[in-house]
Amino acid sequence: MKRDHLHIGYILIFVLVLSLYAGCSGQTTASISNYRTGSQALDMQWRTNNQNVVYIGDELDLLLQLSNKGTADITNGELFLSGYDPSYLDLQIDPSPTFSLTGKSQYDPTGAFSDIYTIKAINVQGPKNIGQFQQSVLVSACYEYKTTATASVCIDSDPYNRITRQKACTMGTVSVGGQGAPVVISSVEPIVGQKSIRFNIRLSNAGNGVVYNPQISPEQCAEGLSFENTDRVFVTKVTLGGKSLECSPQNPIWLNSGSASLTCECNGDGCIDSNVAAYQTLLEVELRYGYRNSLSTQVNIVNTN
Amino acid sequence: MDKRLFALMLIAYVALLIGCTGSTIQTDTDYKTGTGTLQLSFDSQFPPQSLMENEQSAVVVVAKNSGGYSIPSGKLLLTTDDSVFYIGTKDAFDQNSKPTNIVGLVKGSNRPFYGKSIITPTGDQQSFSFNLYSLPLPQESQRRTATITAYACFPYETFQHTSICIDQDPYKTKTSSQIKPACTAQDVSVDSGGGPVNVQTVQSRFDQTPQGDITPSFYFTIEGSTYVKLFAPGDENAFCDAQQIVAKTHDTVYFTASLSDKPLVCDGLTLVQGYSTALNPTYVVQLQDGQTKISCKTEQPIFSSVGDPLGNYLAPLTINMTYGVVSTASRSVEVTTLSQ
Repeated sequence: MKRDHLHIGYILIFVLVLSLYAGCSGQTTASISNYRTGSQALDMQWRTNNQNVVYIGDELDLLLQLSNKGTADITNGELFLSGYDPSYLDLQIDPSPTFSLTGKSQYDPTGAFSDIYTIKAINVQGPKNIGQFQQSVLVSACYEYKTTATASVCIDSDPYNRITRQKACTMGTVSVGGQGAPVVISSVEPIVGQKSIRFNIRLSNAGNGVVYNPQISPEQCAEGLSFENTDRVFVTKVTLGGKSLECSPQNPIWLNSGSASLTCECNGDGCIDSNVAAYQTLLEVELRYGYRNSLSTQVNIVNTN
Repeated sequence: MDKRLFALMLIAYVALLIGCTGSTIQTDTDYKTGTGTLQLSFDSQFPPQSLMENEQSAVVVVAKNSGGYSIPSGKLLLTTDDSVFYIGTKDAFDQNSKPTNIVGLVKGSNRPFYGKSIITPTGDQQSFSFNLYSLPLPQESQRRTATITAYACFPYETFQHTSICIDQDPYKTKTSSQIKPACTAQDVSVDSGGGPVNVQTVQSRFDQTPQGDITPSFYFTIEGSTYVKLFAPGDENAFCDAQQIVAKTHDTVYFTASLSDKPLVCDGLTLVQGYSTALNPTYVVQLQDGQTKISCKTEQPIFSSVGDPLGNYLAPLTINMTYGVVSTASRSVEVTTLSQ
């Protein structure tokens, strides 16, 4: 009888420990790792069905919702409309084409959602003598965005093993995980010299939008992007263990066919701790850029006359 | 019983499904397709293949409007070799009356001769009857063959429309990689518009002003059907009245086009006097060997709000051509002597 009680006690303790462990590990994943994921920034979704039929003289209402699925905040982004013949559709964005949305964080792992925008044409017109006329409506957003990436890199002060000693890590190219932004640091390759260390950093546009020079305003972006302002990124910060690195090429960096290589160097004292054979340290990279994404729908204008 | 009920329910469900998925909004424009117009044919028995001399018969001409337009009025003319046939009754011939070989091409009273439309999906069809009297043959002739020809003279038109992609970056100075624009500028083939003259292709070219606005130009390839004769509107009547071709207006059509309901102006073409207005300039187009090419552009540049490919959009291009048509049908009839 006493032995049975002992068994039940062991089982209870085991269950308690297991649930405590599961609870704790789940908490860590949700709050720290999960929100810095994906390569999206602004996400746009229609809140109307995709079969928009409108009769001449009627009102057209297309409902749109925005959400920020990246980790950076968006301030004063600009929505604009295109893709349709302005002779027939006089579309307006209600309440306003300007938007701001906070990004994902450990306190808000889904990112902010906007109110519903209405893309509205009061009195739809259509071509004379044509029964039906198909039009596209593209809504595009121009906004400034930021990528903050942190890579844990191994610095080997003796890469040629001149002194035999135990090494804590092996130096090599590292891929950087989810950054919660469309322009990503895809890889970091450290190269160690006598007193310097250099990093070849690879950037790419992993999102489905267009990267543009953040020095032009969202309004200018909405008027059309020239080649000189497209696929341009500013590198605003590269630090190794808190120490700033010198990078080339100069800003803005051109993402040729969607990607670019950046070389950042740490020269002089304090870059490498030569007392330690190999050690892990953090390389932080911060990028600033404009981003433009679009969403389209079809509108069928029907003339019953 | 249960099986019957199940079958009924299945049929109802399928009917409902077809009804729901297959529903499209149809308008008269949907019937303005093909290259048809009013065409003539003879009844298989009237006239018969052969007649005796001094015999009276009937000629039945069947007119069918298989194009997309209604004919408000027109004429139907029957002709033949005067030495073999008289178009009318024997009594009328004996009284030296004028042959009754021309009638109005109408379908009933106060009703146009409808083409294909929602209410007449296959177009109107009507038979027209004439009397035919075979004259006595000269003594030296045992038999003679003559051709009976029917002509329909009527006004007709073609309305065509297509969508043109307005290129907001014609000189390719801007980019929008990774974002698919609403459309990409390209030459287009135009579906036939339910008449015998049609624009086959439209080539587009876009020029940009220093302010960035766009001036589109279009090159139209126009082709006429070979199975009808074409005239400037109104001149087809001269053919039925006097069987004369007015050479000056033969193979002539009047042409109007607009982009987003704004009229196009055409280079090197003459405006039709008394027909054109500032809002609707109409040009004389002369076909050579059944076809021609013309060039037209918008009067004013199009304002460009988004000056890169993301700003591209589809604009409706409409084309209207009016012309006179003479449709023909022929039948050979043999006349033999009584002595045979």
